[in-house]
Amino acid sequence: MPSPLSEYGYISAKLKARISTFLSEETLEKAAQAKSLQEAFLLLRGTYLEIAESRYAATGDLKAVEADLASLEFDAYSFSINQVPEPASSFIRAKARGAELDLVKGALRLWFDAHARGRVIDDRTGYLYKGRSLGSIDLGDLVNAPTPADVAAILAGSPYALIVSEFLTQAVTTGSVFEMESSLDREYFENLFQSLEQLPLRDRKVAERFVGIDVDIHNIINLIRLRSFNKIASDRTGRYLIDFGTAIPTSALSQAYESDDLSGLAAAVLGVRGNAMEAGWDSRDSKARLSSLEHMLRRIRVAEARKCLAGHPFSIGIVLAYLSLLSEQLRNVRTIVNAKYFGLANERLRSFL
Amino acid sequence: MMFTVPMEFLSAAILSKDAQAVSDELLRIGSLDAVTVKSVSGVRAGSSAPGLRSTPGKSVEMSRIQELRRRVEGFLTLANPPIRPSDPADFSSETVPDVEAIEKNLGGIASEIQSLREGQKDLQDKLLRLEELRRQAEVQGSRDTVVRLPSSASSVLSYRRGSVPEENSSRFEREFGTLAALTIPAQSASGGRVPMMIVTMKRDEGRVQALLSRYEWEEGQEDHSFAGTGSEALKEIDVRRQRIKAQLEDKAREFDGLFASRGSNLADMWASLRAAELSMRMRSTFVMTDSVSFLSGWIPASDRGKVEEGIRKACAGRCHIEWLAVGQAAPDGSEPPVEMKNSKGLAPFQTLVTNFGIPRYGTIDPTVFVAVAYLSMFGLMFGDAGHGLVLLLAGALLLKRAKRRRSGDTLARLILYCGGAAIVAGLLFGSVFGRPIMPALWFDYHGVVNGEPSSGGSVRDIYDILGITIKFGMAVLITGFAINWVNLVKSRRWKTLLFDKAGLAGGWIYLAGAWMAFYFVGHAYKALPPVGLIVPLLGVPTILLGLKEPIEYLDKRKRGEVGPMTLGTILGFVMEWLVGILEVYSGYLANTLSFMRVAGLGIAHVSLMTAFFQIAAMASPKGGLSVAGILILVLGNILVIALEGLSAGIQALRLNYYEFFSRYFNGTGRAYKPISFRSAE
Repeated sequence: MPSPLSEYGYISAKLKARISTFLSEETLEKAAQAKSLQEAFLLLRGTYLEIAESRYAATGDLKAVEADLASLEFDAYSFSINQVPEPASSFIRAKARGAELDLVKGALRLWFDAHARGRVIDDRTGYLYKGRSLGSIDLGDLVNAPTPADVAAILAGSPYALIVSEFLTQAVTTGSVFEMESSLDREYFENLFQSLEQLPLRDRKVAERFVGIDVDIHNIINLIRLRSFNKIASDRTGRYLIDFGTAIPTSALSQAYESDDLSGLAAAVLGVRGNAMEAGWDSRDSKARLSSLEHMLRRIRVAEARKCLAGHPFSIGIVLAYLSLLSEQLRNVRTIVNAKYFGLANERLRSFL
Repeated sequence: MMFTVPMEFLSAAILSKDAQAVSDELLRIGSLDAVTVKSVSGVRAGSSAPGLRSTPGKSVEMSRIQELRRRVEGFLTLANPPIRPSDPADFSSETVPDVEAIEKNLGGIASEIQSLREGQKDLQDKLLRLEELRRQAEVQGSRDTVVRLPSSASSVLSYRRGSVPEENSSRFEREFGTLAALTIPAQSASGGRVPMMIVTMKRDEGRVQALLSRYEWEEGQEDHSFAGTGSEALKEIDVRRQRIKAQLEDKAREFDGLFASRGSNLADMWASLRAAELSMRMRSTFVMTDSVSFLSGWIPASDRGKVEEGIRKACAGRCHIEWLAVGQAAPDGSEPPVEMKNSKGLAPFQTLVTNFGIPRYGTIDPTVFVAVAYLSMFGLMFGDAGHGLVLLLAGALLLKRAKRRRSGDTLARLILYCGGAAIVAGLLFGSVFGRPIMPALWFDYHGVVNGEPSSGGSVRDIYDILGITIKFGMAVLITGFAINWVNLVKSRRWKTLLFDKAGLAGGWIYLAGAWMAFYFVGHAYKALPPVGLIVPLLGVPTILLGLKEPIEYLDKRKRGEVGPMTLGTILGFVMEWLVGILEVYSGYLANTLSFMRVAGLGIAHVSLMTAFFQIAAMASPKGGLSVAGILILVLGNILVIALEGLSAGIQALRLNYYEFFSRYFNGTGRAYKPISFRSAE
């Protein structure tokens, strides 16, 4: 049986080298304090995100930059899948489907906007992912498919076809893609949990922590959506929240949905009762508090990633740490450049980082 | 320069009203590595020099000046080519930069840039829409077919032929420009209407219908003079794409033009901010009372006259200046900073030294020795004139590129020199691209490694090569010892010189051991020198090693730093001595044998090339060299140059850092950082 050293030795060194090229906190801080968007981009020169600066210099198009960053993240998953043996490779592939799903959901939303709401989407279709990592799915064809059946046909052979064929017509009727997206999310997580079970014990323990945080973040975001937009009856919230052993219990989530009492959530996230360290917690607005919890969870994920980097180097933890840190960094960069573009005040920007 | 640059400590007292002039003069000279005197009686706490005052009562913080300077630097890098501002030729800190105006100026530039970027984005949007149309048109394969109307059910594109009233046509085209659509009007109107072909995405059908209705579109007749086929559409798309790309290039030129017009303004801004920043930094090291200021710091001894004259001139002689002699401690106990002055050609090796550490002040600057040792090691490991030529050319190209980009050229120079060393070694060994095609000036390395009988030379087999590298290693180590001894003599640390394992005692053991080893080898590995010689030769210095700790202890005892001697203290001496013996005997042996890797890599170099030639011969069964054989040789040479070059470079560095530096190098120095326009930050 191959040793963890032989399985993870190369990828551990490779990914640690990549992580060492990530932007430092100091650089991100300088970018956040930059007086203009162009000056924020200048700080990316000579870094691994130089492509973003070049793209902006060539096109002036922030959406094109975001599309490049999304591709970068997606390609990181594709790279990682090829570097680890089974069953870790299957798990990473299952996790990569999250990034793939985001791209597909984006395309489905565009289709919905064009065909169900009659909106013009021509200013957004240019940014659809055109790489080869989606297999046979052509997102350009998807947004132009005339009917939901045609959309499902384009997605044939992918895990999304069945759900789309079941829910897309309904979405057109109800005027909301929420049900379809929730089902897609549920399918993604179920698949992820199945591949998690296949991991050897040591890798599984590490992966469970990351998956748990991902589930929590997903549930908090859905909670925000449910409360803000969808006004679902409280007894039906369960179908939109994912239940996972190490995550925030769905009872606390349901309680948070029904009332403004988020103490259960806070306790689950922070491990203590009452005290919260984040700005926004004192706000009376429960949406702000939920956002604050989401922010805390992201920080917990980064801390978990750093713990993996400092720990045993020959496990799936290194790969998950790399992907988590990359995701968080790209999110921060997107947030900063958008804030600069829209002239957001620094204090407000910081609340999103 | 053999030693680090001698430094002198300057202390000066001036009138506070002259502080600004003196500070400006010191900045112009650019030699002072300032030290803030922390304790001067009568000075109020926190009474460093105030910030600059741009307007009465309004002080400007240095951090704000720095921030603005960095912003200006950022904008200067946006220019094509990047603008490198030069230091202010003539400055005075009385001229304070107007930071508000500069901030406003920079804000204006940022706005102009943003506006240009918005223009680029608009063009980019149009381009993306056209590209989507083009992609779909190609997918439909409509390039060579006449499109039948209505559009094919499987197509995502809609083609329409018709006409709009002439007075509506330009607005009609403008509206469709906001979609992924193409309107191709005919050359001329007919009957008050402009015939047109429209290509749109079927997904936009709702919006398209609304526009068609609003602008009184009439579907076309078959006998229209306007043909309008799919290929026409593609052609028109390409024309428009080219037009937009040209407009994007215009935008890029406009962007460059922005900096061409603003470049000198930005450079001036930078110079004034830089001067203000450095002036503030200089004066922040002064300690001031209401009437008197004190300044101090280190200056290269060669600049003493220039600095003293400059201070006196700036304050019209109203000053008192003191210099501490070289070797005297500074009032704050600080060590002098270290400046290493070497020629530009030695810059890569100086970088290698400073990457390891800054040598202690007053010690030998090892740069020249590192240069000789490094290149010799590299040559011995990579001795091939052909491969060396490749490295030389690569280094020359990188150097040219660095000069063009005005970026660092350290690595380029190092590769260039390594190439030269490899060429020299290749000539000595008669090796060119892995073949002994010319007579060796020293010995035929290939012949020796491949076991071919030599023609009477002194180097006949691999053991001789190993012997050469061991002797080379010994020369390097002995040089290290010698450097250490010179440093110890210069710093008058006599006891360390005599008794330390890198001092005379250790050197004695090393040389005696080396002599004994040669004796043993010379007697066919059968006899050691007589015991009567071994005992004094090794015994005496070994005992001297043991005296180091007791002597140091007695010195400390005299100074009252330690208590009376106990059994534990004596046991400690014995342990230190035993460990020292172990370090000297086994460590020095290991250090010497470590140089065998030089032979190992050289042999590997030859062996790899021999192997590639054999593989090439196997791929050429008819004799000579087939195409496959040539390919194998080319790839083999590339692989060897890359792999062996990297290995040789790294191993040469390792031998310098570990074997060579560990004999003498004390990296506790502090780099010389004068406040000057030439300083990096």
